[in-house]
Amino acid sequence: MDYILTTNALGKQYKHFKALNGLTMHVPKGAIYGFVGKNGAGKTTLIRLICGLQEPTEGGFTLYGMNNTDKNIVKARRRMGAVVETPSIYLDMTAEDNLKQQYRILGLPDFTGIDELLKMVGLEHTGKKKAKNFSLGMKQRLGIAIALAGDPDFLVLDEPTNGLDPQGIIEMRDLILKLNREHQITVLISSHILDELSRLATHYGIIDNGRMVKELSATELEAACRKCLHVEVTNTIALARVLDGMGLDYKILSQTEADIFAKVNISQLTMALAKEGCELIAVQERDESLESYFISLVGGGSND
Amino acid sequence: MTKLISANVSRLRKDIVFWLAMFGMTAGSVIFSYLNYQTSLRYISDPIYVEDVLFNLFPMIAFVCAAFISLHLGTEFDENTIRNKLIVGHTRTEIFFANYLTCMAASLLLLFGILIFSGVTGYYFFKVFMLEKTQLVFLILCCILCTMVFSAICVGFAMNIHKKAISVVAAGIFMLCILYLASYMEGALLEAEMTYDSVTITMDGVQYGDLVPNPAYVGGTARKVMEFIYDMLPTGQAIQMNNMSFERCLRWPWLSAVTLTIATVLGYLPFRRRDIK
Repeated sequence: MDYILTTNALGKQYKHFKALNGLTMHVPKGAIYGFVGKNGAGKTTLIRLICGLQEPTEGGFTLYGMNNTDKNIVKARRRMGAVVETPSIYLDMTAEDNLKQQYRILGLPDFTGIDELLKMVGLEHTGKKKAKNFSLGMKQRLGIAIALAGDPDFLVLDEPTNGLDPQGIIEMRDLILKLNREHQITVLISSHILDELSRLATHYGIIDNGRMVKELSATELEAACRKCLHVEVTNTIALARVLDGMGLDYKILSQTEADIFAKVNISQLTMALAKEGCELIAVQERDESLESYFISLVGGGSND
Repeated sequence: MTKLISANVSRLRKDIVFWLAMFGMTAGSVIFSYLNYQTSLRYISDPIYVEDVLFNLFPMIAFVCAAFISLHLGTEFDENTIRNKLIVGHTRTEIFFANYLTCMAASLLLLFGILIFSGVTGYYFFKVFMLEKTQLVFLILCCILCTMVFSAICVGFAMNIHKKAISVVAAGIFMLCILYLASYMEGALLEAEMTYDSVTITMDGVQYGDLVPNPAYVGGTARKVMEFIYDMLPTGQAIQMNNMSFERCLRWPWLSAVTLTIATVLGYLPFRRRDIK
């Protein structure tokens, strides 16, 4: 498999605090890689390292096969764009001027493509409005437009939906999917909004306390997340007797509710319960979400 | 690096702080020349030369540089736009020196603003130059070098203190400290070697006692060291230009070159390794 980014036992220490502790990850080409972790788990630190804002204290990484200690890593960085935490924009400039400024930084010969970029992120009608007067969502989109200015094929987004309203979140998701599907841009997206990430990502990396806990594809995650049948009955003692008789895995939640982790023939279950004098009131199919999978891997609480 | 310089120049052209500084300095030059002219008409019998007003506002450039450069470069850190340069593969060396050269050019533009406006209005009011053309050119060259030193110091502060407000205050306080140090040294160096042990004012006038060595006089090696530091400090050179005191001016250019190198290295080395958030 072709990897855009791989890290090898990457570490970063700030005085007495180890933000990254031997992190190893692999971002495949063409993927939307969801980088999941609690606050303070080390997501932003990793992004800062790969963007060249900070230097690792241990280990290393390769970007497009180029080692981070190689002087030519700067050439590899020219193929990436990033929005780290808050969008990096000149607040006293318009959206167009911000993009022109980035074009100059990139040394592009002219300003061709700025209109298309503004249109792509939905900022084509902002005119002379300065970025300081933009909403948070508009600033985020302008940040992405700036990151896309060099026509990168690897985009790094750190919590891109932070602070966005529901409409903004949907627009951001559509934009990321569009960039990945239509422009073949590999995306590394860090987030702790797991539900949002699960709608986008093709691959996941779960990080905790600066270490990679699990790396898996969306297909593997789907297989790992057990489906369950949530049932409501009049008597869970009777239900337990029936399920034991059927040899099914289950979990009693209360006197009237339980989860069954298996595919069940509802007619057979209803009849078996009737024999035990128990009624089946409601049945609901539930998936174990990325969220519950994440919790099962790293536990609750916060790193803050 | 040319790409970064081009981007920096484009931003500088739109920087309101730069244009306010330019307006303030040029307007100040005109007003100062006019006030000098008015004073000369009323109180001063000795001739006033163009040079008297030409270098008068020069020490101010230290503070203007501190404010303008800290605000201009501080924006890159406050608004995190410095990341856009690093992420797309520009090295820290390129970023530092592109900012360094841009701010130096802007500081020199401010200097030329002062010199041109002071020179033109000074010539309009006073008509007479005291110095030879070559001496004048030499002193302008010293001003240029001195301004480059001020600029390098301020760039060092701005590139290493990543909070705009703190950077402005730190650079301003530093300039104030080296100005105070230079003023103190000026005072110490101006002390006479001999002084009267007593001065009595009577109905007959002022009566002076015997001449005795002045304890405040700095002599020997200490004087040489103090003169060296005084001449090395850009504020020391600025004060001497302001006072039209050019005794040791021949060593100013190379001392400025040394200070410029030190300021550049001290600004660049920490920035090269500093973490950026």
